[in-house]
Formats: sequence, C-alpha cells, structure tokens
Amino acid sequence: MIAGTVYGVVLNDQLQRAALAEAFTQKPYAAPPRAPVLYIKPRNCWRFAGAAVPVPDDLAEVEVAATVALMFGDANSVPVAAALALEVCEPHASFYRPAIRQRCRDGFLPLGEFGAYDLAALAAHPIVTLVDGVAAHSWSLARLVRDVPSLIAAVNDFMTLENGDVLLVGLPADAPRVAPGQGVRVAHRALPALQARFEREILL
Amino acid sequence: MKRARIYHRGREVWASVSADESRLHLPDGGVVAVAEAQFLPPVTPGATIFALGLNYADHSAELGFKAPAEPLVFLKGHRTLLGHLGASPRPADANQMHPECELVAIIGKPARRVSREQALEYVSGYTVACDYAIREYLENYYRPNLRVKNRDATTPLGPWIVDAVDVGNPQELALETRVNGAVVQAGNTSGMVFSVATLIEYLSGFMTLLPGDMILTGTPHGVHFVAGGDEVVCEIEGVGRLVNYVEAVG
Repeated sequence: MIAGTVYGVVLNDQLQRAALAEAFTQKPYAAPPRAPVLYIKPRNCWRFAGAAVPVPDDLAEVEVAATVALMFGDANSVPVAAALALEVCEPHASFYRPAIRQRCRDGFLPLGEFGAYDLAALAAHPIVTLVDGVAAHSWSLARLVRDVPSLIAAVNDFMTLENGDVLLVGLPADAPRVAPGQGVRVAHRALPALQARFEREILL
Repeated sequence: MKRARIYHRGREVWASVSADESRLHLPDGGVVAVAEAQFLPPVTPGATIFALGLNYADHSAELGFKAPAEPLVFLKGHRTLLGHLGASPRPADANQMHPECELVAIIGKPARRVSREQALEYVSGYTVACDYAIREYLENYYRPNLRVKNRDATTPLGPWIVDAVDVGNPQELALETRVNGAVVQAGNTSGMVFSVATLIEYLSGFMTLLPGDMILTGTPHGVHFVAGGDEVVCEIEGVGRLVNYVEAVG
C-alpha cells in the first residue's frame, strides 16, 4: 500500500546526460535541466506482489527500467523504507512534454516489498534485470547525477516529500525492452527481489 | 447538491451545503455555518489529479504557443492542493506568479475506453481550481515542470463539489478571476480546445480513470502577476467562488 504520491525522476543518469548534453543546448530544451525533472506515477500504475503487467494492444514492446523506490515517513527528508521498482513505459525520445500517455498506463509500475534499507549498500551493489531468467541489464545508483541525499534535498527545495510519498531515484537510459509473454525479475543484494510477468492486455 | 470537505472537531468530514450556501450539514446531523467552516480541498485521498496546459486557444496565443493537437496533460500530487480561504506561498523571487481559474471535473465511476458521447455520464461533479504557475521556474523538461505546478499549497480547490446534474452543460460556463476585486481573467468554458468529454475519452483511452480522479481543464487568457497579500477569487458560474490569499515567504 502507498498512502502518498509516487514521484519519479528522469535525466538523473550520468551516461544519459553525457549522451544528450549537446541535444540539451538545442530546441526545444535550450539549456540543460536545473531542477530535478520529476514525473508522477498515478495509482492505476501500481502493481504489487508479482501481479501481471498488461501490455496494451497498441504497443509491441515496453521499456522496463529497474530502479529503487524510497518511501518517506513523518520526518522530512529521510526515507524510512526502500523497495525495488520497475518503471515501465512506452519507448519515447522526447523529454519536452510530460510523458503521461507513455508512462501512466495501467500496471506500469510493479513494486517490490518495502523494507528497511542501508543507503550505502543500495549504492554499492548493482540492480540486475533478468528477462526470462537471462541477465539483460545491470546498473547501479553510482550512476546517478544527483545521489539520493542531494536528489531529496533538491526536490524538497520546492515541494515536500513526506507521509507515505514515494520517490523513484532515477532511471537507466539503456533499459531493456520486453514483449507480452515475457517475465522480468529485478534483483539487488540489499533488497527483496521483484517479479513481473508481462501479458497482452485483454479488454472486454 | 453541493458537498464540502471540512475539518471539524478533530476530523475531516464531508458535509452537504444548504441551498442558500450559508450552512453545512454534517453526516451526524450537526450544522456548521459556512462562515465558520475550515475548508479542505474536496478531494478523495489517493485520487489522480490531472491538469491541462494550453487548453484555451486564447491563452495559448497569449503565451506564444499554437493550440496543441493532442491534450497537454500533466499530473499533480496532493500536497499542492489547498482548501477555500487558504494561503498560497509566493517565494521572494517569484515575480511572475499568476493564478489560473479552471473548471475541475470529478470522475464518479471507473472509466476505460469511454467515448466522448458517453463521457459525461462518468462525471459525478465539478469544482473550481486556481492553478498557480510561477513562470521563473519553467524549464523545457516535462514542461510545465513540477517546480512550477506542484509546489506545496499552490493549487487552491473548492470551495465544494457541485453535482454534475446541477451544473448541466460544462461547456457554457462563465469563469472569472479577480485579484483584489479587479477582473484579470474573464472567459467561458466554451473556449476549451478539448472539452471535458473529449478529455475523458482521451485519458480513458490509455488508462483507467477511477472514482475521485480530478481533471483540471485549463485556463483562458489573462496572465496577471500577484503579490504577497493579494486576495484572489476564482469563480465559475453555477459551480463556486474559490477565495485564496497570496502569502509572501522567504
């Protein structure tokens, strides 16, 4: 269960920022981002305990970016729990307008089990994504442009994270893609694993 | 019927508003004078809050944009919402903070792939929002970015929800913003690029809308920068008159 709002941040991956540095001086961006670039994953996206992710019939495949979700308690600025999360989206290249249609489809945020965490351990070990049991991607929070404490400080500079809010700390730009029928497992040494099965959406 | 969410004797309650808008009737039979009520934003916990950018052609032109071909949708968290008669913080460097009066549609039942012809059957009611923006904080990433549109307490909402049946056609309502009594926005919901029904068709075409979800449908022209101490009134015909105060901070 999540009592607050789920926020995510894009463009917090050092490799991605280096690759896009030139593009970010051009239209429509004009200048590199200053504040963290946030988005919201609304409640229709949330899936827990391995529930299947429906892939809408207009999408051949979806991007699956494994990351860490931090949950905030009553004390400002200090997350009280962490979980693995799988940010699912329709692949898209532009960061100009909010990617609501691409990111906010039903089931597009499988979440693992939230529990106690150690920040140093989170950053020290890779987040590994396996597709149908085969390692497909690996990255770590050492790749973040803003590490967890500086990200939280930069966000709290203009809005408060507390009372059950969740923050996804960043996305790897080289995330793999999966098609309906495939299964994803996300593993990290310091967090409970997350599993998600992707199925073609059937609408009545 | 009109329903307000208020803070009363240690808890949040939904109350019905009397016909003359002077009293609030509580579920337990108690009565609170509207003049003494502590209004909360009339929102369902957990609801998804959608908002529209550039949804009136005259406002797009004023900002130098063409009206979009596809709805420009962004989302809000709940901490940005604020009740009637609340105070919205204005940072010291926010010289370009402006109010945006918006009609808000509230979803009444789950909606997935609903046609625009049927869409209004999924609306349970309407309220008023004042969707402040601070133009100094605009960046061209997921624009309008959250630093502009999701600041704490900068989206006043209310004072209450009016049942859809009592509002009738949502596309012929006059809306107006007054700052310290002077009219700074005067428009009509007939000027929307994408109507309430079209927005529900669009959103439900790719995601499920759930009861309580809200759609802030955008604002007409009239960019007016506010100062600390200003009284801002957003009023929509047949829906409500939302009062807010700008509070200088920092």
